[in-house]
Amino acid sequence: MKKCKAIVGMQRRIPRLWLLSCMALLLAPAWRTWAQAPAAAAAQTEKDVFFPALEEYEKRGKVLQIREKMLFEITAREERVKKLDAIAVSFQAIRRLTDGDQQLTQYLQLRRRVLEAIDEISDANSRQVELAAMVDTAMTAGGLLPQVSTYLQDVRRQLLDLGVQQQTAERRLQASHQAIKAAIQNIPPPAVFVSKTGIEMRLVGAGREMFYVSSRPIPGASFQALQAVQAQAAKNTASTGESAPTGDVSMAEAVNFTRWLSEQEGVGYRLPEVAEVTVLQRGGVLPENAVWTLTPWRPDDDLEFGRMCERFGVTLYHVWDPKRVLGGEIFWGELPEARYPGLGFLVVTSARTGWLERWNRINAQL
Amino acid sequence: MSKRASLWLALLSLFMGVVCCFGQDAAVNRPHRRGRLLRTEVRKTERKDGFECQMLPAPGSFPLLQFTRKTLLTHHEVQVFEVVKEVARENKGEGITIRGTVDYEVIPGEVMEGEWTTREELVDNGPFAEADFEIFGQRWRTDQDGQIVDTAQALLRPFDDLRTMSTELTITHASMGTQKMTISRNLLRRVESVSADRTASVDLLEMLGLDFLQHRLPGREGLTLEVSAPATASAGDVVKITVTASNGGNQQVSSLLGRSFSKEAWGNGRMFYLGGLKPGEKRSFTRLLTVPEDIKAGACFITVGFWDLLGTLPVGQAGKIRIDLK
Repeated sequence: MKKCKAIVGMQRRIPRLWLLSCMALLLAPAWRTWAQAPAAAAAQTEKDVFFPALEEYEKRGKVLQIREKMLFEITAREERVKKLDAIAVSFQAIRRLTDGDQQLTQYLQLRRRVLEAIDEISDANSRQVELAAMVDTAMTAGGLLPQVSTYLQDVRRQLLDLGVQQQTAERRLQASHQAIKAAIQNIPPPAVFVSKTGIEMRLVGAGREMFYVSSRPIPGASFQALQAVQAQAAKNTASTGESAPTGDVSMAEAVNFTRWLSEQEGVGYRLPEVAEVTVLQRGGVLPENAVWTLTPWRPDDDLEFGRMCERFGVTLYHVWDPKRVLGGEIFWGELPEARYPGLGFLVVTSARTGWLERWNRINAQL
Repeated sequence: MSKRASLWLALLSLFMGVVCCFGQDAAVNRPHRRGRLLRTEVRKTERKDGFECQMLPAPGSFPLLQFTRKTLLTHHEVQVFEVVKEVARENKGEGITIRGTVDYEVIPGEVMEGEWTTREELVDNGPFAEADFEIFGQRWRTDQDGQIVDTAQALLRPFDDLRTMSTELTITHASMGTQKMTISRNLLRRVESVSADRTASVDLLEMLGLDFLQHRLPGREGLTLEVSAPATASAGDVVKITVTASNGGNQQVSSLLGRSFSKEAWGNGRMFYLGGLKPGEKRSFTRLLTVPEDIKAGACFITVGFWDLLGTLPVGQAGKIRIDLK
C-alpha cells in the first residue's frame, strides 16, 4: 500500500495505463497465492472422499476390456490356424510344380506368408502378456464378484493355453521356413538364362559337373562393345584389332573380355577348361568355331617340351576345334597371342550364376 | 773186316773228328756283328690321299668348316748297319792284355740290314677346293678356299635339343673316305683350371665367338631384347629370325639364350645363342627357318622365350612374331 501511494504520488509524471500495469504486476504474486489456497484445501478434502459406484463402474469396465481382448485373441488364433493349414497345403502343392521360375516365385511368396505369420504370433504374444497383466491387476484389485473372479481365472488359463499353442505354431512355422529355404536351394538352376550384357548361357553337365556355357562363341557385338569401352577409357580411337563376328580373337583378348564381363555381371565368367569342353563334346554341344581353353597344352609324348616351356616362360594353350575348322586335330596347342578368323571363345560360369540370376529377377518382380 | 781192324778204324775216325773240330775252330773267323747304324733306307712308300676337316672360329650365326687335302705317306724303311767282326786283342806292349778280350773290326764293304719299320707322314696339300662331301646325308660343296659356311645351320640343329651336349659329325668323300669329328656345345662353361684335361672335341659356341662362361654376379637390368622377322613369307621360303640383345645396364649379362615356340614344327624349337654381354655390348643371333612347301596360307605365330643365368626372362611383346604365309 505504501508502494501504491508512492506510485499515485507520481501520477502527474506517469501516464494512467502505465500506472495500472505496474499495479497489476505488483499484485500478481499476491493474487496467485490467494487463488491456490482454496484448491489445495479442496484437494486435501478429495482424498478423504470415496465413490463406490464409480469404482465399481471402473472395475466392470476393465473386465469388459479384458473380455473384448480375449475374444479378439481367440478369433486371431482361429485365423492363425487356418493360415498354418493353408501354408502346409501350399508347400505341398509347390513341390509338385515343374517350372523352376514358378516354384521360386511361389516359395518366396509362401516364405513371406510364413514370416508374416511368425510376426503375428510375436504380436499376439505381446498382446497376451499385456492382457495377462491386466487380468492380474484386476484380480489383485479385489472386491470382485465370484463369477467375475472365476471368469478372470478362466481367462488366465486360456491365455496359458494360447501361449503353448502359439509356441507350437511358431515352431511349426520356423520348421516350414527352413523347409522352404531348403526347397528353394534345391530348385535346379534354369536351363537357359540371358546375362545382363545379352549373352545367352546354357546349362550343361549333370550333378556337380553342371555349369553354364555361352550358347555360341561370343558374338562380335559383345566383344566390340568391350573394345569400345576400353578404347574410350584409354582415349585411343584405334581398335586393338579387327574382330570377325565370332573369331579372330587372341587368348589374351578373350581373357580380358571375361574379366570385363565378370565386372559387369558381378559374378565370375571365364574361358572353359579342357575338362569342361569334354563335357560339351560328350553332350553334343559343338561350337561352329574353334575356341580357346584355359588349359596349358603339352604334347603327350614330349616331356622335354614342357620343361622348355617352363624354362623359357612360354605357354601354349589348348584349342578345341570339334569341327576341325582350322586343322586336322580336335585338340591342339597354340600360342596365346595367335588369332585366326575361325578361332573364337566361349565363356563359362558356375551353375550358381544362373540360380542367382533367377533369384534376383524374381525377387525384383515380387 | 776183323775185330782188330774195326777197332783201329773207329779209333782213327774218332781221332780224325777231334782233329777236325779243333782244326775248324782254329780256321773259322770270329762272329760278325752289327755295328753302327749307317742309314735308314726307304724301300717302299705307300700313298693314300685324304682330307681333313676342321671347324674354324667364325663369329656370327653360321659355323665354318675348313677342308684341307692331305696325303698320308707310309714309308716302309729298313735300317742299314755296318758289319763288324770280333778280333782278339793283341798286346802291343801297352800294358796288360787279358786273355780272351776282343775288339771289333769293321768289315769294309759289308753291311747288314736291321728290322723293317713303317713311318707315316701326313702331308698338307692345301685347301680342298670345289669338292663335294656328304654331311648329314646331304651334299655339301667347298668353295675355292676349301671352306663351307653352314648357311643352312645344319650343325646347329642337333643342339636345338638342350639335352644334347655333343654330337659326332661324319664327313664322307666319295673316294677319300670318311672323317669323324666331335662337336660339343657347352652352355654352362666354368673357368677351367690349367691342369684340366681338354676334350678332343671342338666347342661350337666358342667357334661362333660366344661367351658362355658362367659369370659371377650377373645382372639383367638394362637388358633389351628385340626379335625381328619378315611379316610375310611363301611356301619354300627361308625365313630369317634375328634376335638382338643390348646390355644397357652396368652389370654383366651371363649365358643368355633364346628358344622359339610355335604350333608349326618348322618354327618350333630353334635355339638362339647370345651368351655373355658386357655393359654396353650388343649382339645378334640369326636362325634360318625353312617354310615347308606344302604349308597352307594363313598366319603363323612364333614366340621367342629367353633365359639367362638368373632364370626366365619376361619379354612381353618383344618376343612375339606373326608371319603371314601366302
